[in-house]
Amino acid sequence: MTLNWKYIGRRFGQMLLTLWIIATILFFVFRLMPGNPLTAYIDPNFTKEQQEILLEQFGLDKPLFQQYLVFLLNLLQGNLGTSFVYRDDVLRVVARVLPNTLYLMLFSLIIAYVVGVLGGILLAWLRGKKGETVGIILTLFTRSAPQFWVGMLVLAIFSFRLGWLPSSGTGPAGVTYASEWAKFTSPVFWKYMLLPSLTLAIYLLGLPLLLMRTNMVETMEESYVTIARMRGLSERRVMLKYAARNAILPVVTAMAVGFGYAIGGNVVIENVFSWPGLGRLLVDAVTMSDYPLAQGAFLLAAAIMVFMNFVADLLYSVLDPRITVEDMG
Amino acid sequence: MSLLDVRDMRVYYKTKKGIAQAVDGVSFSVEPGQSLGLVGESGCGKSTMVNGIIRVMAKNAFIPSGEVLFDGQDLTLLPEKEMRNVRWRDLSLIPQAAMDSLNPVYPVEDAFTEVLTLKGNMTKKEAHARTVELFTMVGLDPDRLGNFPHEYSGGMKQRAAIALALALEPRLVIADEPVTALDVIVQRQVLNELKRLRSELNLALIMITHDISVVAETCDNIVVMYAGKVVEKGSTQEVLENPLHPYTMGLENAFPDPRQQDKELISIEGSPPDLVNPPSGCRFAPRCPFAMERCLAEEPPYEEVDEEHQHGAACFRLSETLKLQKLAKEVETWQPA
Amino acid sequence: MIEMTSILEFFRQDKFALVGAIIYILFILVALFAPAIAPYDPQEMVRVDGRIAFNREPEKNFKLGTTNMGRDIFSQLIYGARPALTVGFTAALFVMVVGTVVGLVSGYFGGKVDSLLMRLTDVVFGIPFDPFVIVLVSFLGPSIWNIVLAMALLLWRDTARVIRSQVLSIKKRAFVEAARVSGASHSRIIFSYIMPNILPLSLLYGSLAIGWAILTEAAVSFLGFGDPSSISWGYMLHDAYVSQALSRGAFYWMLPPGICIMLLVMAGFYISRGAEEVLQPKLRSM
Repeated sequence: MTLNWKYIGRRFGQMLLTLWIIATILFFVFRLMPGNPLTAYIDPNFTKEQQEILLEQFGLDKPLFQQYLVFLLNLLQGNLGTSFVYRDDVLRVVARVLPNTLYLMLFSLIIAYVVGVLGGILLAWLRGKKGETVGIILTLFTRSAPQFWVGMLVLAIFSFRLGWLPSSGTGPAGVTYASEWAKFTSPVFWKYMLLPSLTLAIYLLGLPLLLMRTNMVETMEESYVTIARMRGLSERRVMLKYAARNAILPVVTAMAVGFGYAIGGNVVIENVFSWPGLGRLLVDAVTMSDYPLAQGAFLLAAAIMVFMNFVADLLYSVLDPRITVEDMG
Repeated sequence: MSLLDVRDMRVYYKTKKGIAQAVDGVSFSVEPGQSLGLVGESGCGKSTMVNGIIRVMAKNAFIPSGEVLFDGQDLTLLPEKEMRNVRWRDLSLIPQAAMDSLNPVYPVEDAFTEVLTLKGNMTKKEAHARTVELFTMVGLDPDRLGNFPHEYSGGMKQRAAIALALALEPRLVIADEPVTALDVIVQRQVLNELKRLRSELNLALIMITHDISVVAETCDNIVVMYAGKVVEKGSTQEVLENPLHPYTMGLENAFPDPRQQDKELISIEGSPPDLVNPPSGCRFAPRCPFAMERCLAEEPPYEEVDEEHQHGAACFRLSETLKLQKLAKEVETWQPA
Repeated sequence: MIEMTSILEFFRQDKFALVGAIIYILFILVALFAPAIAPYDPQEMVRVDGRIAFNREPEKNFKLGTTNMGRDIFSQLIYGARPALTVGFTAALFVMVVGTVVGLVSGYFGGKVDSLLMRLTDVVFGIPFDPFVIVLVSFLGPSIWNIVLAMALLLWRDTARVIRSQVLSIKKRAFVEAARVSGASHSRIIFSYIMPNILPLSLLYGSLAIGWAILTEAAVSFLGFGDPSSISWGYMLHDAYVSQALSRGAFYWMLPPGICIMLLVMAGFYISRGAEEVLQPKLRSM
């Protein structure tokens, strides 16, 4: 298990390049779209002078290319601009809600991948039996149901009908947690997180499950599996240590990618459950035409995604001793 | 008593087209310490039979009848759990696909540790010592124990597979095409190694191969199979020098003989029959240059002609052997009419 | 080698694919004959005895009840098939065409073109999907065509990668080599030798994209960025969500649109699952 630093370095470079291109696209999308980004922000009753001061304040009076350079320079210093609505540093606004998104995502991903891998092994084991068909149909249900709809049903049943769990937010109205750690360790917080994370997990479950099943059906045909059986090893050992262990590699990689996708994907879940995270912030920012905030939130989501794609590649090369640098191009 | 006595063994496959009779009534036996070569073209049922003996078969395979007496005990009747105890302790295998017989994500040593601790009840420490011993025995460097399978060359993997098969000192080792995937020089090394180990450890060995010259060098006895049936068997020398069945004669023509450098190689025209609908008579008849009408209609019974060498064959023209042997050496005989 | 005839063949062999195809045909019929099936105009605030019928539970006149604005839910459901299928099929078409062309060009020509296109694919893979669609739709205005455009800009990425690797492996095969040596032109090699072999794969990815597109349209509409002029299932659920249908337990309102989305998306999966087995006959024979 040796790390190839040259390869890592090259992939890291590619990652930075990708991020730079995305930031550039984002800059021009936000600047060139119809309407001056400030129109929503500037009160029509402002005097011309006041408007110009504001334009200057946001650097919008300069030529586009100069604005772009300023944007890049600021970006390098972690300065994503000032939110119109919150009148606060975008990075600070985003940083406030990011932990909520991360908790939700990590918790759902763990549930989804543990259940998914086990379920995939089970389905492969049941290959050709009735249980396999039933399992696949059930899994396809979880993949085809819109997440927000599952969330709505879950809310209507468990929150409104049965009253077991709270319906929105991260805690009771008016309650604030003393610190991030206090929140994370508070049972109340976990109670609030249960419904959204289960809903997200139901949706995320399908990918690892089907992937694990397909891979395992393939590895079960490998000669090292048959030969392990000939060595008189128990069926459980053959299935887990030989077939499943070799089938799990792409699933682990998929998890890293899935982490990135979940950042973008839980926009919907966060809105259904009014979960104050990155996705909800983004939707609110777009709705309220708070472009610096929308741009910052988007950029952060993109950065996490690109980074996780990078991690996925690295994990793959570390987990599978057969993969050489040449294989990975 | 024979160590392994296979009696009228059948292994069939359920396929979409029907039932394929891959192994159809095969009998042979192996004495303790003896070596037996099982010869035939690929697809003749050799590997299927081995899988049937050790009872690790494809999902669609089954054993409709037959006995596999190992030390007097019928393996086909053994419950799966007890069969698992027989595997590797009494009966081990050098697999055909030795190249990818090891778990790719674990170091090579892991397969040894696993077998030695789980099946051999050794401690981890004992297992390591034994693995080093086994590695040395087959001519591998114990320093390479921690490497992954993909870091081994083909020959090294083959040696490791041999060492693994010998790990628990089984009484019978089945080697399924153990050298086919190797180049000629390594083939020779591995075969010599096997021969040496066999005499040192007094192993019984079944060598499965399509290469008759491999058997000539390593085996006491020989069984020739064609399309799921035994066509000829006997002591290796007898079978090779005095072949009774036209198929055996054909096989000998197709492989180089080290004693006859200038020998012209002749291959047998045609391909093995469809095992779902096998020919009603002798299964080789459609390709046999000496086939008579009777051969196509009736199945020839197996007859022993030389009791001393337990040499016999399943052919209607056993009385004309000398004439056929002579004809079989001519290239024209094997050309399609 | 995968033959085009096997695409038709699997409908006979694979019950999953057959069920999927039947579901599609049913929904297409519903969409085509929506005005004949739906008892009311989906936007109409229906009056009973001169008064608007708000929040009616299912009854004889309103098979699935009415919304808080007095609109007939059943009629909305029937008309909802139209935007779903429109978005699904057009987006899938874009995804298929763009993905196939990018993958084909990249894989076939290799070299600089290849690395440029693959870096571009990397970039597109780095863009979060839902946020991108939301931002673009909010800039360009809420219309289903903008939703389709946003999806078309991103969703081709998976198809392109898969098609590229397929092209790379086909390129190495003997018959392509033979064609090249005998002096066949690029376009001839691409259209007569490579295209027939990657078409089933791009169809498979196209059928998967239908489901993706329908789900995305629903999510975007649910978040309130949908096209207000066409009542889609996502829009219906948005309506239900913001009008306290959840706390009232109005399942007659929430369930039907979700079930329709699910059925349509699942039908796509069923068909592609069948296709997957045609593409990997190895698994089938076991």
